[in-house]
Amino acid sequence: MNSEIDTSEKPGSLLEVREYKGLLSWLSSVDHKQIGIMYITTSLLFFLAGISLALVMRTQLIRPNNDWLSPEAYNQVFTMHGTTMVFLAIMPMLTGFMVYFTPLMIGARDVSFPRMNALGYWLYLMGGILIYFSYFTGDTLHAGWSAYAPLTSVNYSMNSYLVGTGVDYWIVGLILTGAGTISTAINILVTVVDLRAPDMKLTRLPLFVWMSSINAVLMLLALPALNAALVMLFMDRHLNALFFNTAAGGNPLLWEHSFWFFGHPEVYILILPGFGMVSEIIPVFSRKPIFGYAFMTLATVSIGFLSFGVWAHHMFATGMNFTVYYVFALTTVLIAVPTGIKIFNWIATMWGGSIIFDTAMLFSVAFIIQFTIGGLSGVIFATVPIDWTLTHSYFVVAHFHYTLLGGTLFTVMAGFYYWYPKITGRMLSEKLGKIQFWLMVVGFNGTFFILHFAGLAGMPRRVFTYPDLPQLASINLISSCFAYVLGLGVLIFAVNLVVSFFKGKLAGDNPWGGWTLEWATSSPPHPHNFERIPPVRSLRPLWDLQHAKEQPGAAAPHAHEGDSE
Amino acid sequence: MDNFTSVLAPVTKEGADILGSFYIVLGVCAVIFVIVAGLVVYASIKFRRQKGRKAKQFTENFWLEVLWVSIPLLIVAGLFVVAVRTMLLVNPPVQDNEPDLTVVARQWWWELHYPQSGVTAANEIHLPVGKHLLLKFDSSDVIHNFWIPAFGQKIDVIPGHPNYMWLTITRPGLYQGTCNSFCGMAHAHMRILAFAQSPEDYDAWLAHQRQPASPPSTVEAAKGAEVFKEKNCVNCHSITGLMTKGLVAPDLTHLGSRTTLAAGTLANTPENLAKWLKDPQSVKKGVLMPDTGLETDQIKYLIAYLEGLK
Repeated sequence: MNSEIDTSEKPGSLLEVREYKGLLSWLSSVDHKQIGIMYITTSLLFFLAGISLALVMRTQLIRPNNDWLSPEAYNQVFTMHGTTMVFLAIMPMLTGFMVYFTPLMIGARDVSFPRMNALGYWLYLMGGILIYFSYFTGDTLHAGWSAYAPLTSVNYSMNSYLVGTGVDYWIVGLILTGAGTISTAINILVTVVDLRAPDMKLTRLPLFVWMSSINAVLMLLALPALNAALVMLFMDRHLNALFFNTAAGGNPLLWEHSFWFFGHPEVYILILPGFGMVSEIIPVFSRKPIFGYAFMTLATVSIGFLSFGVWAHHMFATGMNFTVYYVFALTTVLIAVPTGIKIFNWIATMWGGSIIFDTAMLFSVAFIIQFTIGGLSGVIFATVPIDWTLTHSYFVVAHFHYTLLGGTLFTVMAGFYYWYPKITGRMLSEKLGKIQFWLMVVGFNGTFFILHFAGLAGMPRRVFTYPDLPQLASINLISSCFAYVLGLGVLIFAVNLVVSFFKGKLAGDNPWGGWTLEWATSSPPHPHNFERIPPVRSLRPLWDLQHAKEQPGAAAPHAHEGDSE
Repeated sequence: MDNFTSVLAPVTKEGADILGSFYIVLGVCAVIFVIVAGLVVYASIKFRRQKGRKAKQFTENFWLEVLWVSIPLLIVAGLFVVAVRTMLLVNPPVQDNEPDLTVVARQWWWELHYPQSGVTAANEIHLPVGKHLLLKFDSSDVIHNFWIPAFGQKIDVIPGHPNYMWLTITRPGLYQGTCNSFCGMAHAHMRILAFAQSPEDYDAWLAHQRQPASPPSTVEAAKGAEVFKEKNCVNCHSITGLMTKGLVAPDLTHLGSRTTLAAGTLANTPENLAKWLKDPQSVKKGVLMPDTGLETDQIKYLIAYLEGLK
């Protein structure tokens, strides 16, 4: 590849990279690293918006019969919170890491289609702006992030179910971001297939790249389904297409099926790159190779397959045929098995290691425990009759926040502490990191564990107020108080990101002693990524290099231990 | 508390069956969690970096993988059996049984029909204890969801897609519920009250509901009946015996016998009714009842009439 290029200057931090100076170099960039950084930065801003909306919700719910927000405002807030977190914050944040690190980890110069890469980002940004622009029109979608028809599909002004243009902004915005995601998915897949370094066989691919690739397959198959459904909804609203209008022979369940056919793979789209991150971080901080590489990969592939056969478990209360219930209940409990494989392999990776508890590792370990809770409450929901009782309640809210916040967000935090030095050239403050970690663990579990009980006590989701029953009042008060602790943790994270960018300790090429190819180049990497790509003989090319150096002449003693061939 | 609305304290046979399966699954999950979290914590402490510790560089163990594939497979197979068994126990096939109660969900209230006795009511459900009841659900507009936590299961109420639910109530009492599927602006105020009664009380209630509205007994009430007919009320509401046929709003034939107003938003008192009639939007934002521009004494007469409709 580019192993012949020799540049003697080494940028110490992102600000010193000559090619990245000036706004134009960013706006016109097709460099996967700049696009990755723009993805991550934009998604962080949306993430801060999303978490602020969450705090607004918890403030409204702090006491029963609160009239701080009107129902209309509250309905907008929870809708925008969900939409923001899923489509504008977490998914693009993961996409940013995928775009940034996939080429680096496989030893490539860039992605296969750099211009399409830029297109993906700009579509995402414009879609996000369009969705938020609806606030300035005085009307934002207020039907929940799943926007069930016919609540959203009928648009006559008198006696309408939902007045306003917010739905239309939402539809068009999501079609744009969806198209961006599809283009990025194609890009990642082709890059991984086509641009791997010599000897980077598929059996030597880092797990983050494996999981990102499977993730790209899911994106490629799921997002078009959503976009098709969105177009149908748009046609219903403006061309009177009647897809979802019962009176005209349409069927509102068609929307639910279309939405969740996208929506459940989406859940895995939101977690697989996170799985990939901790699969990189846990080995490095345990000073051991990943345990059960082949099984990890196979588990990811089977999650990918199964994720397209479980969507109707979001619809267990819609009164479908029992045979349908049996099939989807079975696929849903089955998906717990590959997930379990991953969890046990991570634990086995820690086993016998010499574990360094830096912030990245702390977040990874907390992730395993919290994600297990979210996974197990998922198994509870897969038991159909229990779903008949608890679906649509705060038990669901607790469940998916354990997977998406306690799960995905914690992996992303780990990813930030792990890779921020590579991206910016400077370390994040470990001291602030540890404060943030404990605030987030306490805040998150305090906010959401107790919400399981709100569901059991009969509190439905998406209500701006609830009756003054003593158990509901105290549960909500406690949950809200811990939410502020969580918010404080996020605030410290934001401060850490900004302060460390200017003042952080210089990282050097490989601050954590990582073994994958991204650590073989400078921090931040040159615009062309590598001066020289080390030979790839196993899962851990840098380990091989290091041990070959220690014992020149002899074969690297552990060269084959990470090699699963 | 009489109306403690928890799924952990079910008052139906079906709710108890579901709770039973919940405890089984929860127990299994708790054991798994303790094992996983225990291993993580143990590994974190035992294998933390210490002087002289060298990480062992092992990577694979086939039989260990087989172990943690096969045991979870057996567990989930067991849980699936629990699910299927409870499903069949709780909701046997409907076949051609006639429903005891048909619930029609509307934005944002519940219309109730008792097909076997021809009674129509709204928002406050009366059901007999000890009988295997079949409830039918339909929606006239968007998707709603019917849930009384103490009864156990909930069901989506979907336009053009009738759904059914079996219930056997075991304990008399008053139970609260709400709409559970977001259905628009006043979703949070689409509440349900269920009165589970002894069969005798239930029959007496049905018999009473079958009566037409009692004629106005005072001068004020008579004036109120006139206001009701002259103003827009009749376009939407109906009162049996008053020659009204409004079909899009709650039937008010026995309004005075209900305990709440506006689908559980307010207690049914003359003061609250006055507040409601004066400005419905301030009580329940989004409600489809228009501001009818009633004057103060018109409201007074209406209250006298409506509260007299026992």
